[in-house]
Amino acid sequence: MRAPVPPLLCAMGLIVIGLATFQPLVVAAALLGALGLLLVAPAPRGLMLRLAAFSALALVVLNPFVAVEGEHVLYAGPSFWLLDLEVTSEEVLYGIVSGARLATAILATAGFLRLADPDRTHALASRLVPRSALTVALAARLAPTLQRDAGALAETLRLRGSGPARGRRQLIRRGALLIEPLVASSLDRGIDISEAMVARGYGGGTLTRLPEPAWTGGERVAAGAGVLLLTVGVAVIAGLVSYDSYPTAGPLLSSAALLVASLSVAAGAVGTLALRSRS
Amino acid sequence: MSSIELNHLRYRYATAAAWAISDATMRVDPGEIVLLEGESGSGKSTLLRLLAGLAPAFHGGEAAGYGLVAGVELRTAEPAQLAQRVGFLFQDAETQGVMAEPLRDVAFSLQCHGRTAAGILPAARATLSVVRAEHLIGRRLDQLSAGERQRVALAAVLAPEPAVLLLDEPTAQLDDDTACELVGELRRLADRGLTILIAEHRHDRVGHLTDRVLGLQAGRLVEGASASPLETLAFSEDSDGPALLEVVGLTVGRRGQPVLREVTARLRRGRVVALIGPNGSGKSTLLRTLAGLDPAMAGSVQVCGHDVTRLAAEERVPRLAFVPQDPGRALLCDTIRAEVLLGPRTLGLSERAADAALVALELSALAERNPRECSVGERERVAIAAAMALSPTVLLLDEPTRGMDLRHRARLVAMLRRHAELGGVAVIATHDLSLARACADERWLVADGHVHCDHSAEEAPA
Repeated sequence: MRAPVPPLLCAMGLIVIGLATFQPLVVAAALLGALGLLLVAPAPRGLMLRLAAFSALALVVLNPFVAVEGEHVLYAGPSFWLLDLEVTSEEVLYGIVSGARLATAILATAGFLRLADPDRTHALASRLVPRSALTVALAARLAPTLQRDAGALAETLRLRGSGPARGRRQLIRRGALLIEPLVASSLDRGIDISEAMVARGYGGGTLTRLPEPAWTGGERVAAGAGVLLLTVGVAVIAGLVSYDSYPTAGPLLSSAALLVASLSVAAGAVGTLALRSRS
Repeated sequence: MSSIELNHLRYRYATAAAWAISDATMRVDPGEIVLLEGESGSGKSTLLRLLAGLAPAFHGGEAAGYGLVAGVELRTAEPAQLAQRVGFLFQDAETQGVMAEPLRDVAFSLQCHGRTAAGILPAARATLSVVRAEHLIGRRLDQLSAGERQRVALAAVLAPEPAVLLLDEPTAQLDDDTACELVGELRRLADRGLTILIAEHRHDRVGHLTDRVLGLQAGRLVEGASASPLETLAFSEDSDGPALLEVVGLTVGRRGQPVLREVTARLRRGRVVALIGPNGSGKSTLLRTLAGLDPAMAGSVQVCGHDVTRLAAEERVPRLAFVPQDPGRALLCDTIRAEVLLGPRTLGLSERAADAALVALELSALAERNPRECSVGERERVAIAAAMALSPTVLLLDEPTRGMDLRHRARLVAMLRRHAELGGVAVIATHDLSLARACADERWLVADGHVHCDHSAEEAPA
């Protein structure tokens, strides 16, 4: 596990670049970087990859039917209340880019969470946002605890003779059976963890800062790449790449877009490779 | 001045009309070790939480009377302030951890107590070595065995050197060697002035080093010990019939790494086996593989003559039933009766075995209660009853006596022997050697990556 700051800088840089512009080439570069960040993180990664793909796809599919923009009509259909069945190429492209931006944010965040040492992240939060340290600790402990609880509940169901769900109705019934105990246990766990922290003396006095180990060479390189990515992102926001209200393929290969995309890919690659060396 | 002084202290939960602790009056002097005994659900954990200031702060309800712990009056103190002087070990070590890595977790206690930064890690490391957990440094807390987690939790409580130590079943998940060393260390700390109050069902482990024994009966404190050893019931002779459980060349592991290799063993009808071995030796992994929850890496498992190696857990039920470690965390229904009947109703089996299990484990009177409101020992019994309700031939139990008082351990022994008399077999992973002595025909020693199955109950090492 890594010191939290280098992967945090890389993730933030990629998210800022991805959200700063609709330029398809730049967004694609940020998406590629975010994907790399998650792929170098320790397993499991499948759930977050599926979540990113599903969310992006949902946006791509839904956008043409809820957005009303563009002049190049691909399909002309009737309009009902919130639903617009006229599909334009701009709406399709906007959906694709928006989906890619959403996927970038999900993948980069997941990559950071998988790469950063949760204990050092907690310590960092205690220093930077002391009032939120309890929330950070609760979230960090609660997520894996609930995951284990959910696994144990599913196992208990199997040990009581309930076989794998066959068909949608059975799957829904099985899920419904597990939801109530899982919700009940999540409430219990929340109290358990905060009680454990208080019983350990948390909140009773000044929290001493534990000396942090020095960053490794790889972490320093990744932090540098992260700073470069953030700088590029700020430059994009400052107007290096022209802003469009929706993406167009016109300036796809403009020199500024090519420069930003190349920098993003290069810095992202350096950052992820540097973080991979000890994963 | 007493370290703990209680005068007519009372407490009741928000949802209950009756006092869970009623009229508790006692004094404990510095350097004294007091053992708190009582049946499951008698209020031991509640009393400890009350003394640590965690009740009513985290559990609601109402407290009355006077209580002074480590010079801090309970009525006015905040729990976090009290925690600066009082160490509290939870019954469930799983809930005790805050950080993800053992050294960091122990260091967290010292950080919360404002220790100087330079001394934190050496002190944390030293405390981990006291509980023989130094080798766990660098591993993830959520990947440790229950016994290993309990060692880390103990270190986290001991590290800040509190004035009063409240321990809720500190040896429940420890192997005998570690428990023995821990109890010796507690005695040494008490001799230096630390006051210790221990709630523990394992009188055999801690009784000899305590200064005084207090009993709790339905929330009332009474003087004097109540423990007596488990009665050994008649063992069965090994029969000539076919094996009901047979494993051949079985290799089991965790996350792709083998833990036990080439396990070969057979159990004929009427046999009860105790699986013993140190924390983290692979007992739970073996049982999970036998139950079909984890895949076998090599070898085969036969139940009642059928090869079940490739069958999933749900396909091995009801011929084989398994109660995993800490089953109280995974209860599915709103009442104990519904929980116990879930298996038979799912599989369309008779409900007579469920009723018999409720009676055998003294759960009939609690049948309409929500199992989540029960004590750890009561929840353990619910899970065992749910397994017995399936009328299994092969019964697998992982640490079944956690939180269970002596009387109910005796009921469990009787139930296991009855199961064996009716032709079933049982394999029990346990650190409770008194349970093993009382009910097991054989002991299988799990150590160094192998299972040594050739020990009879009389010959096995204690």
